[in-house]
Amino acid sequence: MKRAIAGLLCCAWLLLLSCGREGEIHSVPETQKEIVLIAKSKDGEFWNTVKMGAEAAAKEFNVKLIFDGAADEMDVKSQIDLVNKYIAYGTKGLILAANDYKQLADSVAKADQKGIPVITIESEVDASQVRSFIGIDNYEAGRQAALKMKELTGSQGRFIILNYIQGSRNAEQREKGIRDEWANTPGMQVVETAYCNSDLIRCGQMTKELLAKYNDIDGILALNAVASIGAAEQLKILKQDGQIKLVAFDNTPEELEWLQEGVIQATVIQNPFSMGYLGVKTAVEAMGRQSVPSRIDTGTKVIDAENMFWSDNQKMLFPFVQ
Amino acid sequence: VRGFRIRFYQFKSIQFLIAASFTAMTVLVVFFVSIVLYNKFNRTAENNTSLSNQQIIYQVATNLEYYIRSMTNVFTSVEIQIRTNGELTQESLNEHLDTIFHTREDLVTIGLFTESGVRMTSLPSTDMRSNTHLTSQSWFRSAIENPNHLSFSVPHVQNLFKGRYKWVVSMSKGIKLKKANGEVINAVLLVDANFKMIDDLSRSVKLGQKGYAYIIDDSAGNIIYHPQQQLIYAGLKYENVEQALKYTYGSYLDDSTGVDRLITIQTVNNVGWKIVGVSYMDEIVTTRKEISAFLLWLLLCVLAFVLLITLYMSAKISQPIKRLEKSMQLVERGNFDIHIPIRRDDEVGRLSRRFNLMVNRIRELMNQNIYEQEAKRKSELEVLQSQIHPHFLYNTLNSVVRLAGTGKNEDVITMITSLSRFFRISLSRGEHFISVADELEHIRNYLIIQKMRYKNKFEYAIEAEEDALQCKTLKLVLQPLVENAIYHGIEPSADEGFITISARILDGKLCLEVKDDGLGIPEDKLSVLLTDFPSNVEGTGIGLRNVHERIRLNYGEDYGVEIQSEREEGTQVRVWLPYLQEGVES
Repeated sequence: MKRAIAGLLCCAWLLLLSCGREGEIHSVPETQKEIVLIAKSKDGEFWNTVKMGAEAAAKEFNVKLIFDGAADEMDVKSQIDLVNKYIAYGTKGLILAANDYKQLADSVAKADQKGIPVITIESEVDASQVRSFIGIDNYEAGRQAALKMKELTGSQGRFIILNYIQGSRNAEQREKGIRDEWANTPGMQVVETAYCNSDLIRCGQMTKELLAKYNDIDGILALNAVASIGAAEQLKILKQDGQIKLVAFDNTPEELEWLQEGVIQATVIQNPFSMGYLGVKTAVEAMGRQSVPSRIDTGTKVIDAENMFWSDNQKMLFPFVQ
Repeated sequence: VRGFRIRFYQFKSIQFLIAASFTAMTVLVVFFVSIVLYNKFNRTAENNTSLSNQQIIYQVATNLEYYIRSMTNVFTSVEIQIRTNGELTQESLNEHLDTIFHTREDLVTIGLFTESGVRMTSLPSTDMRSNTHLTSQSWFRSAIENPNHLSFSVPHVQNLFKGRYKWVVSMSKGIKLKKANGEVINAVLLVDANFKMIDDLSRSVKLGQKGYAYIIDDSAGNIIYHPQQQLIYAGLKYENVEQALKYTYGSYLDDSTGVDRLITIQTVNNVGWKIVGVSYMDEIVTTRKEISAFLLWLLLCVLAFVLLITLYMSAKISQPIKRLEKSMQLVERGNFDIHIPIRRDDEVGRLSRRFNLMVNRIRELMNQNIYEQEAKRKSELEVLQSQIHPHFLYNTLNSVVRLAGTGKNEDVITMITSLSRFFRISLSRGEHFISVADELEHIRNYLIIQKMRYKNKFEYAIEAEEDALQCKTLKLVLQPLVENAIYHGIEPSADEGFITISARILDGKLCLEVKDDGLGIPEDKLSVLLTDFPSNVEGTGIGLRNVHERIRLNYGEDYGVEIQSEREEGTQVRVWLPYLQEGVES
């Protein structure tokens, strides 16, 4: 009997020892889930800021972020290839800023079929499988730009719309917003819409050509960053800055400088940092099988030289980097 | 049903009771100890976290204070340079300032402006932008409003010079400068610093895995620096600054962002900033989970251990009781030849010993009872046996008187002689066992008397083997049988009867046989003759049964009386006795 008790004590002691070991084991870091953000274009100030936001979120939510994009915003085919590549590669989540409203729908459906949640940012895709769209209301942004231009020119004048890509849904929406806003104001007249395909040189050239073609232009509405910079540079060169009002889109450092210099009178800003951040955040939520809002509006704001250094606007306009 | 019953039985057993109660008690105790330990650990962990956070934040505050002092020193040395170089040329001033400017990588701008916002000197010396709204900027205004006081601005974008826009904290001071011509002018000195050092400082703060520290402005609660500044600026993240403003130092729990966080606050002197340390309670909870997992394991181990011990112990205790119970069951079924081995001198051992004594006593009492019963029956039989004689004697004497009355002296002599012999053998000096020869002699005398009484209504013959004559027999076994043969077989019959008595050795047994050719016994009567007490008043079978019982009591179940009878043919009664030679004691 004594031997039996001794045996039992030994067993208990071993058990306790094994318990002690249990406590010493530290939690092994989980393997990070991989998430892919495919931008419209790999470079450009706007997409850099999106990337910053996405990286901030990736760090916060402990996921591995892969940032990729097409060579330029016109390149639909290579973007489709990219999406397919990452689906095949086995990513766990996809954040897409689509270069085309319709042509990427198939790829999105394919991703969804494989259980990869798709979040679109900035530009929508015509696919019901998209879990969430994060971006601005482009129609409303167009209207705001139109309103600002109306205010700057006193509801009277002839205008050029310098749009970026023909057939781009965002571009169409913005232009529609402008035209709708001005529909009841006969003084505000759009003489021509030009597409400069987000090519800086082409944008400058087109501005020059158009200004030469119509000599009595009162203002230009440039509907994205590249068009805005191209137009601003050309106006500066032609020394017509200030005379011809320029309402731009986005807040690249160049545009901000032109804005402070008074070449650009006003710019409609989006919040690319928020798009990136919320894109990753929503994707992580969707991957975690949480319900996500089908639409998140990151909001737009009209900034002019007067209010650009207001405390709140500074925070939105200038990225905080060391 | 059987399994269930067994289980039910087990639940009601002492072993189960002991095991269950011991286990329950131990688990309860361990459980409570675990809870107490857990709570204690929690409190200690929280206190430790709070204390260590306070220490860390205090360190950061000290470092930040040191940094601000060094910045103030830089500002002062710039100011001294400008004051002492008031008369010098622009170039030499710039040279001096440039030295200071390049020794520190966190300086973005050094600038001197007149009251009206005109640049006097600056580093970098690049072109100024238009639309700077210089005079309405907060650092400029506070320098003009509070001259000779160094003020720190909230973070803002420096928009004065061409080049990249940078987020800076501005130090500014309104100073009076004496120009070479003796004219005194009001000027504003500006030194801008970027967040590099503060960022480094903040990154060095480790408050758990997710914790961080940020800096707020004491007066308005503006966030000066936050590790996720851009998120704050984009409105994607909020800090509950209002509550932090109420504290100068210390810590409190905050759940305004939806998660429990421990906030630690320390005020930085001189500049009016506060460092707010944030650490996440769920990290303490993680360690809490670890400890609770450990305690759970401990609980399980103790449970297993206690279970084994108690199972063993309770089995040890209850097994002797179970054994005792089984023995008792055997006694209950009538087996008294039981002795429980006593292994230990504990309660159960003593109980077993008492039980053994008790069973022994019962066994003794029962044996005694059996003996007494048998003795009683024997004596009863003997009484019955003795009762035969007076009746027989009376009848015989009556016959003798009758014979004497008729003058048949010869017959009287025969009868008296036979009677005398009959009684001599009947008494046989009180012996129970006599030789078969004596028994046959005894029955012959009886038959002589009866034959005379019944006036030769029957004849008889006595045959015996030589071996059988030497055998011993229980005395007076034949007389009741012959009496029966006469009364029930011969007397009711109209014809003259014949009785044969014989003694033989058959199959190693002694066989005495009484055979008559009388009426025979009805079958229904025959079957019950030896077993039941006879129901008829004639008393038939008392003698027969008596003989049968006596033989069986004396020699055992193998011996006794055997009857064969047929109506109108006669009856044959065989008495089986052990084959015992005379002189050999049974």
